[in-house]
Amino acid sequence: MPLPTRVRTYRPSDTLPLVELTNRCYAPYAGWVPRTTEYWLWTTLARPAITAADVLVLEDDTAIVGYTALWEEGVVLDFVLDPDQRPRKRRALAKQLIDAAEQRACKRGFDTLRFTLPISDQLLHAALRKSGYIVEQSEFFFLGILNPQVLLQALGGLRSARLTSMRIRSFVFDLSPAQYPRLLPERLMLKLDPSLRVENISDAVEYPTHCVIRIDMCSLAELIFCGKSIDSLLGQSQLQITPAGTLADVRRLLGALVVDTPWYIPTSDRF
Amino acid sequence: MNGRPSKKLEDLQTRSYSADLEHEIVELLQASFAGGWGNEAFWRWKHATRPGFMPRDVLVYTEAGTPVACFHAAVRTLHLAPGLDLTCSFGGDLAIRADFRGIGLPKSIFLQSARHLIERSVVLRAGFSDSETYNRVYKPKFGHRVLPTVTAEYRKILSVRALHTKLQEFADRLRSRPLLQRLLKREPMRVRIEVCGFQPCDLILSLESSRCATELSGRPDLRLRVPYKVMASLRNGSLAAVWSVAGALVSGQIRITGLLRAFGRLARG
Repeated sequence: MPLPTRVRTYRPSDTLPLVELTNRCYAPYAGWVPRTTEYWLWTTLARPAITAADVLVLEDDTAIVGYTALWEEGVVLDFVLDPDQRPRKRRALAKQLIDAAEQRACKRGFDTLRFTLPISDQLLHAALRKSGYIVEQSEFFFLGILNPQVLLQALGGLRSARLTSMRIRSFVFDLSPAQYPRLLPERLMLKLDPSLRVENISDAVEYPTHCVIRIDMCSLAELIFCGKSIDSLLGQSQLQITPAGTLADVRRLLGALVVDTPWYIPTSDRF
Repeated sequence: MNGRPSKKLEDLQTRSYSADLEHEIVELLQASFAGGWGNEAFWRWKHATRPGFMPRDVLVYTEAGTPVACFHAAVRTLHLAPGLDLTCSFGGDLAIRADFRGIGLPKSIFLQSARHLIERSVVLRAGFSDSETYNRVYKPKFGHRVLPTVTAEYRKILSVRALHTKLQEFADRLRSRPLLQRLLKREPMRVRIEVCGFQPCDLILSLESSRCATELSGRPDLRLRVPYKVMASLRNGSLAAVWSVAGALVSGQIRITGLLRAFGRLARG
């Protein structure tokens, strides 16, 4: 008969399984820092006002299935549950870990307990609401593009398979700063052949004009990261495509560059 | 005084972190953050001991050798999508001594730090802020954009002390209402509040103040029994909160006694 799941405090041998579990649990989201042993130890145990007794590990008879870490003033740094558990068991594990965190928080004399979690995780949301937690908006997380060349190269490279059948094989990005303080390439060329490559052609006197995408840096960030649609950018003249006949191909290209993963930033990654 | 800053950006020198600056950097941060910042041990953990830390991640502006402004960056790998991790700089802990404000330091700091970050192959810059600072600084001056995250904060009161503070805050808001002022005109009112899971307390309301007492004495004017979950939902002020209260009233989870007496008192008042 399997042993019931139990909560215990952290042991040094837990580090690797916790790192692996955290990376697996946060994988569906954007905005978190992939864990290494060094980073996990720094962001959790090396932090002032935390001890190994504040790291609660949830373990069944075969493996670690969850953990949470409490920091000062009842701030929960991480709350991680094995995403591969069945919903019914995961719900029970969530309850068990929330209760354990509350007990530890009371023992440390904290007045409140604060979890920062993805609201899209319906199971965790329901478990916390059932335990009497109220939901509040988190702080603003903002982002700006510092190096558009590397960004377009990385995104394009990842999605290049979606661009293989495109008629147009090279595109020029004519970038303007908008509210950005200047420090960026003004013109980039994205070539699909022989493999996807983004070149800085800011200094080029002449460049191909068969497909030019004019966009400012803020609008580029909104398009890639904030879910702003191509149509809305076109409608507000924040995006211009010349000649107009290339619109269909540009749509496909820009659509492939969008990061549509939901953003979740755990407290342990805050700065 | 014509209100113009007397200091000039050109008179300042820039340098990066060295251990001898630590004390003054922390003093700058403590003076700039109204809610407090932390001590040197916290600074050392957050910055100097961080994996991948480089002295140039801390940008310090000095006047005649004395730090007057500082900015901190943390270069990290950011996960964006399956198979896509990029280098991102998280910026923050920006402090500018009061007499050096208004001379364009934030923009100078942004540009100075950007050079170092580009050398480190950083692709994105990110940070955290409240909506006021974002709309005043980060959006219009640096072109940053807030991301629609699914990150939410879940909060629960655990201690009697914190519960009493919240009850008193709520009572203070109520006391400003004309109806309650009429009710309290003649004499204070004692409301016994029983929040499930917590020790009962008496909320004593008068025209001038409100306070929570744990010594329960005499018969209260009003007695209210409410589950914590329902009480907490009221803070959201949403339609869901109204439903939650209505549901709890119908199912008998919320119990109020003494209402008739209170109405009578209101009529007399």
